[in-house]
Amino acid sequence: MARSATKAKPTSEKKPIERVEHEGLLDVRNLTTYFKLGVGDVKAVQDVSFTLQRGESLGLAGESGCGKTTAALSLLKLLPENGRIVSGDILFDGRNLAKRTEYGMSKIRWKEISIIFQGAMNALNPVKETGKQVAEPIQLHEGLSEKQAMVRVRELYDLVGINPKRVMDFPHQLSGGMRQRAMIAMSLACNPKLVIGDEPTTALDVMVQAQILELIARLRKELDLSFILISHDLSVMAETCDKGVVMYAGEVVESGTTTDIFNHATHPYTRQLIKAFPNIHEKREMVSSIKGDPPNLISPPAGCAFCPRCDERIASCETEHPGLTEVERGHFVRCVHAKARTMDGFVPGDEAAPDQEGV
Amino acid sequence: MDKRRYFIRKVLNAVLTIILVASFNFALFRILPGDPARLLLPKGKTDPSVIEKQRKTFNLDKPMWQQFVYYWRDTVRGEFGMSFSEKRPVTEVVAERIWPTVLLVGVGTVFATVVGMIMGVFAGWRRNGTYDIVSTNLGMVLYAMPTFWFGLLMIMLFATKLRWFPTGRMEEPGVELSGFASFQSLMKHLFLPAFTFAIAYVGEYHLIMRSSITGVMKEDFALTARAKGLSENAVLWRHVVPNAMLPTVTIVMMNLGFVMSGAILAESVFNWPGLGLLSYDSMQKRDYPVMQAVFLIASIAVIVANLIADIMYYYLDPRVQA
Amino acid sequence: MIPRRFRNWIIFWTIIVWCVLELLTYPKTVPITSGISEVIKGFFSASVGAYPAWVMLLLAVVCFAAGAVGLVRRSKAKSFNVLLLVEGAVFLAWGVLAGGGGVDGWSAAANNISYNWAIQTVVVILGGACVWLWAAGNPERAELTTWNTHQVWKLYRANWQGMVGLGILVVFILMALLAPFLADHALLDPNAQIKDPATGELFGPYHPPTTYYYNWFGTDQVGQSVLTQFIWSARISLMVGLLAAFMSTVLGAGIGIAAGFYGGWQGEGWMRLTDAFLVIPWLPLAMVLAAAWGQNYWMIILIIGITSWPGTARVIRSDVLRVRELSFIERAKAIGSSNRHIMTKHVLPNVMPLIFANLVLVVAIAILSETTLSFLGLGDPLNFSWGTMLHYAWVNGAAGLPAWWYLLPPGIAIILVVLAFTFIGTAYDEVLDPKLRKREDSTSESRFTSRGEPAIAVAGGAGVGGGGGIFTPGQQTDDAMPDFNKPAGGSIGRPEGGGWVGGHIADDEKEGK
Repeated sequence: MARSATKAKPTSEKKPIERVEHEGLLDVRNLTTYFKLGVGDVKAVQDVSFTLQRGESLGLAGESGCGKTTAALSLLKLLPENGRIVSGDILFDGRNLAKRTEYGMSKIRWKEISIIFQGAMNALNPVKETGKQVAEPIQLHEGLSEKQAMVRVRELYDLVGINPKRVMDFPHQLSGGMRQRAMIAMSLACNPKLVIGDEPTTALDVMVQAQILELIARLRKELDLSFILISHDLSVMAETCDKGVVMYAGEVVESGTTTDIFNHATHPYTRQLIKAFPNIHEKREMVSSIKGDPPNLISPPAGCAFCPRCDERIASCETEHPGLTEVERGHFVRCVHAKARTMDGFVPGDEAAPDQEGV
Repeated sequence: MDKRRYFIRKVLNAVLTIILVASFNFALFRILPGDPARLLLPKGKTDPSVIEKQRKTFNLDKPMWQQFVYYWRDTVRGEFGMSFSEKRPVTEVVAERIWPTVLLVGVGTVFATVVGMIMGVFAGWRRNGTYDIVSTNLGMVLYAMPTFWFGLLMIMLFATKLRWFPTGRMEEPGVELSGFASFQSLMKHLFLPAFTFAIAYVGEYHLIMRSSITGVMKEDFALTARAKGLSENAVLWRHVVPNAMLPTVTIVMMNLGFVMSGAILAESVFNWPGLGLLSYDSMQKRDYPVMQAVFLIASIAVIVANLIADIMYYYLDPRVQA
Repeated sequence: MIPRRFRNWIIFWTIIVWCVLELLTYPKTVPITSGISEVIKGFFSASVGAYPAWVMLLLAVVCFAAGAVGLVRRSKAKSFNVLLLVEGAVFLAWGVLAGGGGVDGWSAAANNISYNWAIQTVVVILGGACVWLWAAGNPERAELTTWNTHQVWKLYRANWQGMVGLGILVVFILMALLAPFLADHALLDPNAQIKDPATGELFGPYHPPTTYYYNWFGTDQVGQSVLTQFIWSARISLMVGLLAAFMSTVLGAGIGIAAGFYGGWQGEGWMRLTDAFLVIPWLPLAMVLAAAWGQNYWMIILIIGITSWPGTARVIRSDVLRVRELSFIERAKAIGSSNRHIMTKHVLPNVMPLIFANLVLVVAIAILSETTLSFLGLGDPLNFSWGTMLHYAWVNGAAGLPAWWYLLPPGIAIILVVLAFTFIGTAYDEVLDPKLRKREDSTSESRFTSRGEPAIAVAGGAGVGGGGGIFTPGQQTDDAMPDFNKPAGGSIGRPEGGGWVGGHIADDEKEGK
């Protein structure tokens, strides 16, 4: 199966991989991240693979605690002290970030990959002027003086739609939406190749959410950004991203283009996730929520992780861990029913690793 | 809120509290058991005519509300009556004791703040590391330790055994020194009491700073700073420490108000001629006029320190200015 | 018949009450030389019997009154009320027997009679049974005050600091309780200098330690045994610390709850009072009070109690403010519950654990305060405490000798006991901390309070005593990302980020439907 096929990837090379062949900008292969806890390791991210081309956008979706934020933080190696990347490669622009030192990473961070955190009220330092915080990475990575950097900051503020006069405002003086705009301005400060948005709209009210999503979409078009959006809301992902990855309990359960995922959702989890959020374009329905809790990630279940909460479970779900199955071109699903639900007319070719295909 | 309104409100608040505390001071020395006129006399003087005279001088024969008015008049004028152990006006006795206390407390506080906070920053930064475990447990022990006991140990070790420092007082009795020699002698006398005074606060500030740093490091902006590519040191000193300072500064300033307790102990143990020793001596001699004055000064010190803390907070934390 | 879940709780409080009673009574009449059986009898008869007969009469009246009121109002626990009447009768009999009747007899000591130890045993057993029956008769109320001893202990046991603190404390409490067995009280007499059994001569003042038991810690300025003083001092130090902290916590919690619960001018008034007390420097105030009120340890307890409550009041108030906003209180208000009802049935059980954690931390401060006052010579001149020992060592120039054996033991004992209480308080705080406890949530949540109300949380920043917020609960342990252990919100129907409280409020709302 796809799982075993990808196991053979060269992950244990002694020499750090530099300059490998790559597809596109980012190629995450079999990323596995654990947190050490007194009781055991929390297997937060297991065997996650995806790719991203230049100018493309990818959405990572799932419930809180499913490992999507950890996956994103692993890209920048910003894990807390007890977290570590156990195996896997992160090939970014020809370099393997998984093998980089802390010093090496500090050259990548923000200059090449920047991140917009959830709820900018906490992501901005409350006792520092926002403009100075935006200027900080410019000074650091481009060696400019604060004065020169501030010129740039004003331009950025203009770009994201804040009055440039407000550069010397403190975070508490800005509204929630403006703080998030400032955060976006900060993420663009060093013209990064990749921007990660970690729930960039979650803490905002609906009107502002729409504005911020619009802003992101506009900036993506104008600046030709590569973008990873992390969200628990599939509809946001569908509207903003080209490709999507749905995660559950640290694993990829479904991946493909957002149209495929949204229109032909195959994994029971994805379907319930779609149902859990009302679609603003359709008539109002009762929002259903997914019953039960995600599994304990210290000792994940032997079979399918979603089994206890699944409406369509069969006997083998409890014991067998399903692999990823391709149900249509570039659309992979981790479910026993996947084979039966292959799209009409699609014949899975050779069992190629999914990460070498589109996703 | 604009700056002026904030300051005016804080100052008014402080003035109101001072009035409250001074009134409490008035009440305190009247609700104590026994005749206040007797209390304001040295022990053993029971001659009725003396008591009567005392009653007159302190207006204790007047009704309560008049006494209250007189009390305020005297307090505002800075008159606290006569110290009966020294046979001098209380104001005079207190005035000459203020500077030694300020010197001791100032040096001690600066030392405790700097050392305690730096220790705390590193402990919080490398949480659960060897340094953290050692220094935090040390901090707990220092916090749990009675100040005066540590002072006695210091005397035992450095003054009695090693003879590096004198056992007490501010200068050698009967020795006239001038210039650098007198400064040197002062420093020598100051070292042990100031160190003793500071040591309890070192533990406290260490623990506060550590827990504050740990809290701030969990904030998202610390992660943002790391994501920006800042080095660990830059994250710590530029983003984490300024935020972690806020609660610590408040507590340092509030403690500064409560220095009287520390000063009483350190000064009594080392015979340092400050307000603390004065209040200890007057307590022993039941010299109530002096105790009353010292009590008022100590209370006002707390209120003023709180006011300064509020003002400092205004400049340190921009959120207050909103 | 007896609910198993109250067992630990009853045993726990019985032990604490007994310890306090035992420490309070200070049996001076049991010289160790009078034979081991006498000492044992004296030891067990001491705690209640040391009081005069009129105290027995008073206790009898209290028991009769409580029992009668219960019976008249037809309360649920009938057998409890009957037993209360029996207990009152036993007290009355004790008082009459000890006093022998007559007006003057009531001031006689209750342990005058030779079999008082037997009566004492009956009283204690009856008292225990009363508590037991009360708990059985009022399971809901009992549960509100027990807050699950099992669960707390299970979590507490995992905290090594807490266990170390408990260990140290048990050692010192045992030392204090067993003082009559460990050292002869007669050696505390000002004229009782100790002799070297080898030579038969007095050790004399400031003799360094030798291997002779009573000279393990050397002698003091008049040639008395420091070890004896050290052992007997533990009683006063611990007892004063516990009672003063208890008093301060009761005051502080009462005012804190009032300040938090009542809005408007009432709450504001209580808060003003707290703030005003907070700025009064405690040592000068305590010195003035101690100098004026005379020196015995009851006064010290009173003084520490009334000068150290504002810190507690502030902490409790902030927690009450939090609890007040929880939805079940809103609901109780909506269905027209009285303020009194809400306060005692909803608010108090929810802040109770915090009050208890705070009490433990205040004990540490109270012990330090007692030591400080005694050191300054304001302690009880008749009873030794560690502070008094240090006072004598100081004024008699032990530091100049240097007589380290006189200075070190009391100081180290104070540090250890204060650390022990601090460790226990901090560990208990952590046990109550929602972030930490989340791990156990799915199983234990409903057991923390009786009706599925949001379990108890400790608001951060417990500022105890002078400084404030050193041992901030919540920031101590949570090193891992708890998110992965057991995700917060149960469902994803609502936006994320509700956090712990959000999850629970959601549960509560569900229940309300």
